[in-house]
Parts: sequence; C-alpha cells; structure tokens
Amino acid sequence: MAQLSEREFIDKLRFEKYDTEQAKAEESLYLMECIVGSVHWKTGSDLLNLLRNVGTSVQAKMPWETTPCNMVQRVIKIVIDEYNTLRGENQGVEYPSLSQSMLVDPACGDLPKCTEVIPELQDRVLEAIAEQKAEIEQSQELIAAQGVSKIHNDEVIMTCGMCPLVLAFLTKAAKQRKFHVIVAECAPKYDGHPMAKALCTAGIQTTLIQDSAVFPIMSRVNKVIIGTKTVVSNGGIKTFVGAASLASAAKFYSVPLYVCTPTYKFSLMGCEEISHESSTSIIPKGTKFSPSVNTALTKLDYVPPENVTSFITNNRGIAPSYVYRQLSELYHPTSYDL
Amino acid sequence: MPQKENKLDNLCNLLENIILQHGREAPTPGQKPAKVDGATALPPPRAGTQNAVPSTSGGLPASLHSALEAGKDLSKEELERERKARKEAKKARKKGPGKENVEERKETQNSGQGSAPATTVKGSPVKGAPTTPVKGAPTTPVKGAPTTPVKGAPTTPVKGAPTTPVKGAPTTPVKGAPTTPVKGAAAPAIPVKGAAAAATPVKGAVAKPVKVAAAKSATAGAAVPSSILVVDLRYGKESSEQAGVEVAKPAGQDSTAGKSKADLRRERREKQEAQRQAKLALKEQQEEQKKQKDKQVVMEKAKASSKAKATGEGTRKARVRRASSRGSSERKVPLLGHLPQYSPNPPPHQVNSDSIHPAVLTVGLKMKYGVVEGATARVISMLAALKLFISDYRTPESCDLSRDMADKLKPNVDFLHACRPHAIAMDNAIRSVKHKINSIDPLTPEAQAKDELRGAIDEFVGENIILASSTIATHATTLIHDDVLLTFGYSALVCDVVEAVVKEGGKVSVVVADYPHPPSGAAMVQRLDRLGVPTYYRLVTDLSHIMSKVTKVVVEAEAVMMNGAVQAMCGTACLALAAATHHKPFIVLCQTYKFCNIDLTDSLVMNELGDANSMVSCPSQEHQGVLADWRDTQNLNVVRLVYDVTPAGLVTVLVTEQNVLPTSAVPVIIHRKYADILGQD
Repeated sequence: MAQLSEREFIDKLRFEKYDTEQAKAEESLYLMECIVGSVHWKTGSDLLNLLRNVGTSVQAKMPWETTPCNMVQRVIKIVIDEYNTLRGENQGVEYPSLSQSMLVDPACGDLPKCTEVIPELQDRVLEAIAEQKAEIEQSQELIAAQGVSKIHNDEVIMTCGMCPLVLAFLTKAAKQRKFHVIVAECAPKYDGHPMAKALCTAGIQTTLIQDSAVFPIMSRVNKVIIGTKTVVSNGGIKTFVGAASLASAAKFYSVPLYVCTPTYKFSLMGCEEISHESSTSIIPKGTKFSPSVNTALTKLDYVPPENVTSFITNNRGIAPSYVYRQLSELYHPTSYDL
Repeated sequence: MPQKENKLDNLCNLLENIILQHGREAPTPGQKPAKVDGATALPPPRAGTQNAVPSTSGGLPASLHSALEAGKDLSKEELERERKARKEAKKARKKGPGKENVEERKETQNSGQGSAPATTVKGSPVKGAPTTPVKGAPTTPVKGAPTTPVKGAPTTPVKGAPTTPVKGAPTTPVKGAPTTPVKGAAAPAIPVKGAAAAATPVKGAVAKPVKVAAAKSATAGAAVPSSILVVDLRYGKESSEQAGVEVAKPAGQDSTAGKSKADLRRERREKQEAQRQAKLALKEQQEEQKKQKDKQVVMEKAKASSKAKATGEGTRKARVRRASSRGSSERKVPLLGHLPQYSPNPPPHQVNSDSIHPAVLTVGLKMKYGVVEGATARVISMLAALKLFISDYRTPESCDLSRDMADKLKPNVDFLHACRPHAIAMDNAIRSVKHKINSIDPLTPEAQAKDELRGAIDEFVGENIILASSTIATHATTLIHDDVLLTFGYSALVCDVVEAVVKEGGKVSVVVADYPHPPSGAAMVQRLDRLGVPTYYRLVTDLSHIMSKVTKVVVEAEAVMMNGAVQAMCGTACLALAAATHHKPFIVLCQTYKFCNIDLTDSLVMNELGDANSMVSCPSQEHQGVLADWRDTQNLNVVRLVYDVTPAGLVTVLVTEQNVLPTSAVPVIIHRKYADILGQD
C-alpha cells in the first residue's frame, strides 16, 4: 500500500472523502502505521511527538473530526504501554504499570519521557496497531450480535437517518425477531430514505416519517436506537442534526434511547465546542429570502447524558455515567490534552 | 341503458316473486327487506357519494316491507308462473349431477330445520338487512365480475364484518369463514344480477346450508354460479354460463310443500355463489392487505381498529374501483390504520348533478390541492361557499325550509370532507350553521330566512374570526414587549400579533422554524421581513442552538381540545418540547370557535395523513427518489402526518379573544359559549 502522508490524510478529511467513521478510523490507523514503520524516529519520545503532531494538526483544522484524534491517542497509549512493558522486561521484575503511574503526573500535561532506544519497540507497536485494526473491523459485527438480546418481538423501534452500525444491528436482529421500524427522514441530509430502503429490503416492516412527526409518533415507540459521530467525555453524544429533539421526545415519553458506538468513537472532547455553518441548504427551493434574513444550520447536535440510556459497544453495553472509566482504559492520562 | 332496463325488469319480477312467496310462507317477512335491499342497492352504483348507497337501500326496506305485507294474497297466475320458472331452472341445473346430489342431500337435511331458523330470525334479518348490504356494499366493487372462478373465498373478507348475522345464527360453526363470503359478497351480486340479497337473512337463519354450500363451492372450484343461470332463466333467459356448482336442488322438493322454502334457499345460495365469485375478483388485493394486517395485528388494538379499518378500507376500495383500476395503491399503515387515508384524486362526483353546489366544488378542490390552507382560511372559504349555496337555494313545494336545506346541505358537506377531512374548526362552523338552519321558524318567508342565514354566517365570521383576531393581538401585546419570538411555519395570527407589538413600539425579532413538507415558513419570513422585523429562519430540528437566544415561543393553534391539548400543524410539538427543555414560555393563540369537545391524549388518535409523495421527492439531490416506488415495495410505508397534539402540560398560556387563559379554562369556555352547539351533533 502506498504511503499515506499526513497532508493527504487531512485533505481527504476536509473534503469528506470518507463515507463512514469506520473508514476514517482505519485510514488514520494506516497513517500511523506508516509513521511508526518509517525511520524518522529513534526513541519512544520521538515517536510520540510525531503522533502528537498528527493529532494536533487534525484537531486544529477540523475540531469536529474526533475519530482520527481518538485513534492518535489510542496509538499513543499503545506506544507508551509497549515501551513500559519492554523497559520493565529489560530491567527485571519491576511492575511497570505501578512505576509508571507513580512517575507520571497527568496534570503536567506532557507525555512521558521514553528516551531509551529499544529495538523491539517498533515491531511490538506495529503488532498492537494491527490488533487495533482487527478490532475496528470486527466492531460492526460485535455490535450487531447484541441486537437479538436488545430487541424483542413486536416492538416498534425508532431510528433517525442512516447509520451503518444501526442498520447492521437491526438487520441481524430481524433474522430472529419480528419488529417494526420507524425511520425519521433526518433533514437536511435526508439519509433516512436510503436507510428505509435498506431496512425494507432486509424484510423489516418500515415506515418513513417526517422529522416533525417524531414527537407525535413517539408515544407508540418502544425504543429509540441511533448512531453517533462522537461520544463526548461526560457521556453525552454529538451527532446528526435533529438528535436533540429526538432525545427530548424520547425522554418525555420515557422511551429508552440506545446509541450504537464502537470504542473508537469515544472521545476526550468536551461538549462545549459547537460548530456553526451558514447554510442556504435549508431554504426551500423556489423561494428567495432577502439578505437580511439570517439562515443557518448547525453541523452537530448535542444530546446530554441524561437523555441517553445506554451505549452499545463492541463488547457490552455501558451507561453514560461509566464513560469516563472507559476513557481512562482507552487513552493514556497524559494525552488528555494534546 | 339497456342493462339498466334489464335490471329494472329483474327488479319488478323479483318483487312479484317475493309477493308470491310471501303469501306461501308466513314466517319470512324479514327476507323481503333484505331482498329489496339488494335490489335497490343496484340503481346508484355510479360515482355518487358513498352515502348514496346506504341511504337509499336503508330507506326503502321500511316502505317496501309494509307494501309487501299488504300483498299477502296471491293470485293463481302468479303461482303458476312461479312453478313454471322453477321447473325450467331445475332442468338447467341438471347439468352438474354430482354436486347436485350433494346439494339435494343438503336440501333434505335442511328442509327440516328450514322453517325453524327462518322464524327465529325474524327480528334480526330486518335489522341486519339494512345494515349488512350497506356495509357489504362498500367493501365490494359495484361492477363486480361474476365470471371469475371461485378460488377459496372463505378467508378473505373477514375484516370487521358486522356481527349481526353471526349473532343471529342459531348454529355456531357459522362464525368463521363461511359466513363471510356470503356477507361480503352480498353487494357484488346485487349489481350484477339485480337479484335480491336474500343472503342476509340466510346468514342468520340457515347457517348450515350456507356453510356447506360455501365449502363445497370452494372445494369444487366451480366457475360461475348457477344462480346466474337460475335467475336468467327465471327472469329473462339471458345467456346461461356454465352450470358449475349447484347451489340448491329443487328436484327432490318439487312435489313437496316445502318447495318454496327450498326455492328460497336455492336462490339464496345461488346469489351467494355469484357474490362469492365477484368477491374473489378482489381476492388478490385483499390477501395482500391481509398479509400486512397479519403482521401488524399484534400492534394494533384488536377489534375496534380492525373494524374501522375494514369499513375504511372498504370505502377506499370502492372509491378506487369507481375512479380507476389501481392495484394495491391504498395501503393501511401500521399503527395508523384508523386515520383517513390520503388520495391524490379528487372525490368522484357527478358533473351535472345539483346536489353539490359549484362554489362548494371549487372550495373543496382548492382545499384538496393545498391552495387554501390553515383552519381559519378553510373556515372562511367554506362559509363563503355555503353563503352562495344558501343564496341559490329554493325551497321545493311542501317542504320545510329548515329540514330540506339541512338535507341539501349534507352532500355538500360530505363532499368537502371527502376532498380533505374536515378541520375541527370547520366542524364547529358547520354545526353552528346547522343549528341556525334548524332554528328557523317554518313560517318565515324564504327570502327572509335566507337573509337571516346569510347574516348569521357573516356574524359568525365577523365575530369569531376577524374581531377575535384583532382582540387576540391586543391581548398578546400585554405579554410581548421586547422579545425574541420563536414560531412555526406560516400563521396569520402570529403575524398580526407581531404587527401589533411593533406598532406599540416593542422591539421584536422572530425566529421562524420550518420543515420542508410543507415549507410554509418561507411565506412567513417574507411577510415578517416586509414588516421590518429581524427574522431568522431555522429548521425545526435544529432548535437547541437558537433556544438560548429565544425568550418566548408563540404559535397558533388549529384546535384546542377539552383537556387543554393543542392541535396544530405537525412540528409545533417540537417547539413546545424545546421551550420546556430550555424553560421558555409557550404561548398559544387561538380563537374560541376552534375549541372542541374532544379529549385527545396524543396525536395519533385523530389526525390526517397527507401526501406522502411530497416526502419521497425530498429536497436532497443525493437521496431524491430513492423511495420513488414505495407503494409497490413490500414492508415499506411512507407516512406524512398533518397535525400534532401538544399535551396540555407543555402549554404555558392560551390567548383567546375572551381573555388570556390557562389551559384548564377551556372546558369552561366551551360550556358557557357553545354548549348548545358543540354538545349536539
């Protein structure tokens, strides 16, 4: 495979050449593989700095693209772990994790100094990255496998827009259960339409409704299952436009809201960053507004953790209140502020 | 129209026979109304309103019943004629020997109990008769095709069939399949042959022969009912089609005294055959719908909804068949089967009939195609049309103006409803007009009465709409000063309020939330812009970001329910929810004539389904037309709701022309102002 440079990757991201978050995750892992495989670094610290640069440049240009940053931080953690393991082996029966946690102060905000040159580090890191890749590829199946336990016969499930994970989740469950899905159109992208098409070809009884009908129909719905772009650090989610009103309607009628996310979407980002976009896409065709009329459309909606019931991830379901713990397992504490 | 004449001939002959037989058998008065029902259901199969069929058939039995009872004395000639006809029929039927024998056996079996059930059912057929053909009629095509082979009808028209015959049946095995083909098939045979629907009393009375006959014909797979044969031979010797299944055998009965009963039974069975086959013409479509229904049966409330669906579905089917031959284009959506379905075609009406006033026609079509939108506009245009109707109305001789005008008004109102289901406000307006019509003194001269009525309508509009709107604007200015308002879609009342506030000197900006189907907010934005008010335009799903800047949410209601729930265009509830989440007041503007006595718990109990095709052709270029063939796709439905209901708990305050009220005051106002009108129907 050709070498992928950082710039190319960022350009691809900017021009939205990737269809799904999974593709972004895989590409970013590939980029980092290239970096690790290259000869530009000698010590662990060099490698960490290289990776950190990738992370900061992506974040600076597109703060809402959290998946690549997540992957960067994941790889950083892999590197640090491998380094410590190897150093611990070299030095004997020390418990590397214990010493590591004693020596590192997360508040210092800097990555640990991994100054020793360990030849096996590169191989070990590449192995671990390959494992991570496999995990990403399997995440869709693992999530879909949990569908049967979550969905029961004769239930009415609501979803909004297109998410390949949710689609896999529902189609797998449909093989054993008979249920009904209501798909909201999800303006302005209207990707509810291909979702409805995919669902009905899978043999699921589907109904397409307009977004404004979500509240009226919610009284008949048993569960809401959606996908997301990012899971933020407090357990909320940042996702498609319309999720906030969907989630409040679900809360109003006490309908559980499940979010299907693989672990690479868990991000250290906070919920405060919002991105606006001035858009004329919402103006109906054929009408003209005078320039004094302000039209805008946001990119992402924020759903607070109170409205989310559970995250369905690769291995298990986790509650929003547990997200912080998951984050500490995935990422190294010093990399929280890149 | 030669065919019609033949049918009329058949009618007359039928009546004669009825009279003949009525004299022979005392205990079967219930059959005649049924027969007559079927016969009379024939004449108006054209594209009249649905109500034409039930009303005429329902009206006649009463009068004919009395006439028939008077004609108990039979003449010898009539008896002779009948005997001859029966002999001929017997000969013709001898073509299907095997089945005939079985039928004969059946006959002998049932001759014994023939009389008993007939007597016991005296009461029920009379009741059942007017209703069953009525209900049966809409469910089957008026132009039924009698020549289609019997396929195994029993299971198809199970849905929501009226239970009267079943109840009346002395034998329990009737309940399942067997009765249904009979019942449902009642109507098709009627237009086909003009034969009386004596099937009705049969359903209740002679359950066993029905059942056997049905089962036999199903298994036999015979083509055309011999009933056609018999009828033809009896009433005019039209071309006889294949004898096929034998319905009843007079062979063994000719010489016995119970012959007439057997004949009746035979006739009935023949009719059932024809009806069943006509019904099978629809079988394909029904089966498909039934499959869908099977899937959804668990999700829907059991009997009530399925009954409503059956009649609704039947209405839909009948209309479809009259308008054009379409496939399974009208499909019931799960969970929403009880709502009136959308039809892209205007309701069929006669071109030169005088039952629908041209002004009403225009208004109806305008409402259908969305030219006239919104409760207030619809009410005003409808009342204007009714004023013209009143002006053009002339009282016929020896008729009461109030009663006759109410009768003449009905088809107009029904036409409007068929174009587009009434808004609740329209219902209220119609009720008040009817109330006024009823209260006209019969002694007043026509011109004066008409002036009174027109004046009443003007007063209604002036008081309840125009004056009310300006009063509401005044009241609202006490609530709104320097605010950022959030509203939904186009609303004339909100515009009036904003104008009033601006005139008072308040600094108001308005955020218009809108949804693309239909994009009514664009007109609102343009109108507000012309007022000079800073306007923002947002998608209704994108509110969480702008709510921090908004101070008050103001919307106009289409109707307010007795429990305080507010019905408005679909999407308003999103605003209410956003207001509640961000702790902003939610103000609803509504004139009191839109209050109604219904208590709605959620939006799906009473709603309207709009044009789903506008949703399918969505504004996005990428996904446009992905679902273009959604009607043919199995498992897929596209639903567009027109209204939604905001629960009373989310509404902060209600601004009416009487006062600024909390939602708990709604029933008090209804009681005080409208009890006499809204209470009655």
